[in-house]
Amino acid sequence: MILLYKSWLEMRVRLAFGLGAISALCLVTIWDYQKLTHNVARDKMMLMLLPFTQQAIDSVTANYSSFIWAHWNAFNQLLLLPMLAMTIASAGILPNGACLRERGDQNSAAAAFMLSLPVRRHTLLLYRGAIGLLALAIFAFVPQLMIVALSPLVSAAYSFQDALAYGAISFAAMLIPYALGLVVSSLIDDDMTSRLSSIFFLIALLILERTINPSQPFAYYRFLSGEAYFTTHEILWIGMAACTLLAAAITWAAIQIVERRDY
Amino acid sequence: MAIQVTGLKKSFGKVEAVRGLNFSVPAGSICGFLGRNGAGKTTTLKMLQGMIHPDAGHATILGLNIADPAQSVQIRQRAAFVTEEKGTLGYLKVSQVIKITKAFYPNWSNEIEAKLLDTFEIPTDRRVSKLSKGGQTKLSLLLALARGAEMLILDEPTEGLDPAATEQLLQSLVVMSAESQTTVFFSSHQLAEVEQIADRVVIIDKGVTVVEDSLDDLKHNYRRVRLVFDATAPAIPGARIDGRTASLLVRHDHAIDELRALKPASLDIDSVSLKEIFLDSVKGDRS
Repeated sequence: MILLYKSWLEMRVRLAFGLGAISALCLVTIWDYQKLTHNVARDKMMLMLLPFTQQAIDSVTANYSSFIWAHWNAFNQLLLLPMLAMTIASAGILPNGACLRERGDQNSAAAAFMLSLPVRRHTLLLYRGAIGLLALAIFAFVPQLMIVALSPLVSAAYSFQDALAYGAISFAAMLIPYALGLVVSSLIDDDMTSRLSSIFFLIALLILERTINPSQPFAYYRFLSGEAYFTTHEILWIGMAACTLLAAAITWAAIQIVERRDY
Repeated sequence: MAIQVTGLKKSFGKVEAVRGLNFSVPAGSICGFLGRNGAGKTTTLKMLQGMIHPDAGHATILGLNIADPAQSVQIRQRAAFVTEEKGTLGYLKVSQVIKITKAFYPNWSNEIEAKLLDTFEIPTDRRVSKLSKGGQTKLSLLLALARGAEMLILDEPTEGLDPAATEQLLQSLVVMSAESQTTVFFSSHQLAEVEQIADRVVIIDKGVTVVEDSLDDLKHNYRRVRLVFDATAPAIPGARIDGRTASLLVRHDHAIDELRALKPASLDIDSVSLKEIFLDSVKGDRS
């Protein structure tokens, strides 16, 4: 329990920062619906800049669910959620800085302290990972549930079932940047360097997916946005499984690095 | 033996930090671990703690193998480590770090905790990163001393401490060793402190052990010999020559007999300090 308590103490600043950013963007999204008339043509043009299939773009219609998908799932959260996942991971699975920016020497002092305790390294990682997953679940489901709760304020309704489905998809998709963040931060002690490397990777991946033919059977950002659920109303279970397995494999690699590394 | 190190090696790339270290520390002793900067002290201490994996060799603490992950956990349960990085968890308050640490140690002494909080004047409601360097060192020492460990392994424990706090720490170590047979193994560049409390010393240089003995035996074996000759002093290996006078450090009585054979006009023998022994031990080229 004490390791969960410690992990919570070091996670809470990042969690609060992420929740604040998500809540603000969610409010802006819903406010936009009230302020602007739903301009389907403009939304389609916006989506054409991103790596979505023509089928998905064509599916955008004038209803509220379509507006939410185009503005929140396919746009506002697209880079935000993976970046938050990497921010949660970027403190490192062992050094565990709690602030948004930790100096490398503080991280090495924290690592030295944690490694002086009578605990196996993988146990430290297990607790750290568990609290990280909790944060990811909050980041994935809170905005969806906020949309359900706040939609009546703009005289609209949003399906609870859709919220849960998109939340589950976002959660599964965030596992990959989270695991990547763990690997990067297990190799690089300085938080800012590991975070910048992760953000660079995410942006590069977005550009790559946009450049490559977006009709590829599986693309990360399309999966994260819940494009398949939006167009077919069916959860892409194979994508969920692929994200989970890939994240598990990457996390296993991070654990191996930490187990073998000298501090 | 509380610590037994045999042929321990560690390299970082092409740099050989520790090159086959051998030494032992008897249970209940206070042993100073000395060496110049870069001699391999911190690397050795980190290997004992399990922070660094040895490339070769074998070491045990309290009979437990440092290279075995499960036994390494037992070592950290029974021995307290203070590393060179004393910042602990800088983003937490002192009280939170104490709460986290004490949860791992059933023998945690609330009495020692309260005493050291008072003696070291550590504010419990302050973030660790906001403490001075000395304050962070004091907190690290509190966390080590209060956990009721059978052994203390400390890397530069007095670094950043003022003279009063240094004295309090040294007295605490002596009392713990005397009252509860706690073994203390500590590195320091402050030779006077080592001389004050240690009963044994291990001196390493360039990753190998050059001296390992009890402090009393060392001081008994080492002598400063000052020879005055009727004419200019002859060349004597290792001696400082100044006109008719030669001065050198010798380790054994038979060396003194050899010096007498040079028939000096006078030969004076003085005891030496640990500093002189240390400087003599690390002056050789072992590369």
